[in-house]
Amino acid sequence: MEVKQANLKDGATPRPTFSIFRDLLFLLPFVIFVVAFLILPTISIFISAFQDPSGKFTLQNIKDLFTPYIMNAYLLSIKVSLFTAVFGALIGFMLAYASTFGNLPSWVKSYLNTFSGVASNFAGVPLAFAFISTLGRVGLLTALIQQIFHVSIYDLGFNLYSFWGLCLTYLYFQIPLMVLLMTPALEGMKKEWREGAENLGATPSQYWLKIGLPILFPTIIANTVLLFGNAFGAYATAYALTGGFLNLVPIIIGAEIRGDILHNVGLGYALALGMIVIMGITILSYNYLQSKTARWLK
Amino acid sequence: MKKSRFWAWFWIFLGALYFLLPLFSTFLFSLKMKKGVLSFAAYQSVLKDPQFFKTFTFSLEMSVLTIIVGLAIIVPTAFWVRLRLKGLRPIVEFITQMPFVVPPIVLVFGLIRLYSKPPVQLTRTPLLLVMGYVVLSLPYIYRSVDNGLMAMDVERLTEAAESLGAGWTTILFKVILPNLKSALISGTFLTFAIVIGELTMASMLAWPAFGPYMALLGQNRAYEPAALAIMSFALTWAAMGVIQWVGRTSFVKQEQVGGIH
Amino acid sequence: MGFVELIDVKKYFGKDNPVPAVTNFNLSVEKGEFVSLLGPSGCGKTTTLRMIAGFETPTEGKIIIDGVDVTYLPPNKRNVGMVFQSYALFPNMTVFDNIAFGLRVKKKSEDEIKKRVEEMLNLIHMTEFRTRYPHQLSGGQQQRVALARALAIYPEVLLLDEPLSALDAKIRVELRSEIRAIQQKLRITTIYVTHDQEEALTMSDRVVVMNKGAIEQVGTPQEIYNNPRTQFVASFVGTLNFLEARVVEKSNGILEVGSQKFSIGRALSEFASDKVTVAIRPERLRIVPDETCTNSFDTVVTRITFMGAIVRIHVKIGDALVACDTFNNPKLELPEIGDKIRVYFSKEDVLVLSA
Repeated sequence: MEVKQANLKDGATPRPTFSIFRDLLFLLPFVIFVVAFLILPTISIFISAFQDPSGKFTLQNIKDLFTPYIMNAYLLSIKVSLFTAVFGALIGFMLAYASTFGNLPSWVKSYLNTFSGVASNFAGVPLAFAFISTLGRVGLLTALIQQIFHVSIYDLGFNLYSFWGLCLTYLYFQIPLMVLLMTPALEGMKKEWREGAENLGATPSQYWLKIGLPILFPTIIANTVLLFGNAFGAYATAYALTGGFLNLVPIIIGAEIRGDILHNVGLGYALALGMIVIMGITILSYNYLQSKTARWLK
Repeated sequence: MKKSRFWAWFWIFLGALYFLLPLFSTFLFSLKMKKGVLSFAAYQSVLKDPQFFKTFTFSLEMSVLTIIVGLAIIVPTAFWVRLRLKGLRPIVEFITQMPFVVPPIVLVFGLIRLYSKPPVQLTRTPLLLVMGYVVLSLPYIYRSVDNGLMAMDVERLTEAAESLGAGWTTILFKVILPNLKSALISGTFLTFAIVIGELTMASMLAWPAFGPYMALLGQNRAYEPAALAIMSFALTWAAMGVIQWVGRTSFVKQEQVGGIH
Repeated sequence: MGFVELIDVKKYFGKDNPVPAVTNFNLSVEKGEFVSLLGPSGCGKTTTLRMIAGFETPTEGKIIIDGVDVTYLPPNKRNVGMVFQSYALFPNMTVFDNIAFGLRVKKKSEDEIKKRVEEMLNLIHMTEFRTRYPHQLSGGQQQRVALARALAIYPEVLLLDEPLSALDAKIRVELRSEIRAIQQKLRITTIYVTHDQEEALTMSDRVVVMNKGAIEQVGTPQEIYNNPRTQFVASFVGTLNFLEARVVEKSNGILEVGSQKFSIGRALSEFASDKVTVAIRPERLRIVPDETCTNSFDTVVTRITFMGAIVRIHVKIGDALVACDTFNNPKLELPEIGDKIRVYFSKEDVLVLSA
């Protein structure tokens, strides 16, 4: 039999397949960008943390981290992050649960989610302003409480520019973030699990204790970890609220960039490296926990 | 049933109280600039300040540049990784998550360390700021675009278009991008919400941006910051409103978890 | 009185503008019986099952299990086992813990639980899978575990809601006979919801055909298939050829299609009109006659479809198109398109339905 060749010229030759090299060329802009503005800066911090002012290798910067001043900064940062992560997760979970399973009118849920989208992105300087206007020394709520109870909350020991004030402010973006992260997970709980459990004789509380919460548990923990990281890296809110007086790790790094307050540039880099390590552990454990649930629910 | 509804309302009420009280009192506070009367004097004072417009315009320009550069880098990458380099997906995903690991304050520290002195001196140009912002918004834009690509099953769509005789430019502009519209819009507005009031990078790189302007105002004035907070909240609300609105008309759930705190 | 009784059950959905989902449902299921609810999607079969399980409350009527009125009893107080279409295994528990769940909730002793779970694992032939998690099992295995989980609590009634429709064709057929075998071994009263007529016919003692929330016909698989009482049942169960026929002689049962007469061998007194619809199954039309064939049509072949074990020959009788099935036999010479052939059938094979 005679085989007629297709008229088009390319029909006679195999369809050109891009080599893996050509494919990678397509990613070149991304690779250059990521290397130049994300990976190299990270590596440079890593290297600088192990250099003395003359550029020689040293472990002194890392050793210097273990002084009371620096350790207290890490401790405070971890305390603020842990507190706001745990309470943000708890309250955020309750809100998401109430709106998903609480038999409330459906507008509650849509309002809650819209608001959470806004509030979780409403942070930094304006958020600090809002809390200063509310609970600052001349804030409206402070004044109102003084008028009604004839006592200033500042005399009672409250201070917006302290640990508790900062936590209260951070919760304003932590709680909505938890709502946004938790609502899809709650919606993903299959109706049949509940019905299956009920059918086998379980009460609603037995269902939640033995099935609902165990299924959600890794997700809850993962999201709490994410909230921790979210607070740990925060700079703008803390700076605008406390004016840089609270001894948090990001605040010290910021001050170090503005002028050498540590009197040791290498220590600044070591401080930054410590942050990367803690954030790295955070994100890794988040991914691990997420993949665990994903495997279950495959 | 009754009992569970009571507790549900209880939590929602508690949440509403915590969230609305600061907003309400900030708003009220912002109206109290003139003694004895409620007025918009604080807002007038802010809007009359030439620095306000200068810094806001600068931040607006930065956010537009960030969005353009970010989309130009991320869209082709996400597309190509979904289509031809599936093996690289975990690596690319890991890289797009890296900005979470390196907080802005640390990133800017490294950028200054690298680019403030020759051979490559970038601290004098806004390029470094824009690139820093692209890094900050990288996870959000990438996830937004990737979700959009996944939802439209980009591989099958591309094959279908090819078998119908379309070339690569036709595929990109007539098939992929139109279907990606809502993902691109939500990525855009999320980036805008992140960049417009950003403080950390702008102040460390010493640019006259809106974030540092607000911070400075907060140190010197009492009522104007409250007005600015209300205006910022309205702006964030508008950006998120657009994302939600786009999300409603689209088949992809839009990302709205962003925020640099 | 039956073991499971549904008396005048009605279910409406929606408050302001109620939509009927189930209307005037009356059914009595004997102890140990396997009854299928068969119908198209949206016919109310799943709603009926969910009312028996307690997930839905009837708007009107009563549900009685073993002499006890359970109409308003919550699901966790009824002793019925349910198997869901989507398996609904608890993803955080192993196979063992899934099967043990109902017993643990009932606070049985660990010894008793272990014994019962092993018994169930033997029943479904999955003893070596006891420590696996649901996501490590295939769909068919998951559904067998779901079955064991439902049976472990010694339920009075077993309810299955389209348990096989999410599975592959081959596994579906395997599991079909396995479920039936287990049901017969345990003699457990079973109500099975399906839209697959083959499933309903092969597994059940009795089939309930439903349409638009109401029962169309209740009967054994043979009755449903051979003597469908309504046009809906006739068309939903199996394939049927419908022919418009004219009554020639009412008393002798002589009918006419086109100009070809045939006899049904009985009087047609119940039909007033002289136009009727007759139905005949494709496999009852033969291209080679046997001794029972009392009638025949002259036809023209229009199309031949090869279906594996069966070859379907489409023929034209006058203006009407009918299909006739014949077993695939390599020795048999098949007609070709355009051939004039004669198809044969017996008078018992003709179902007369009102026009």
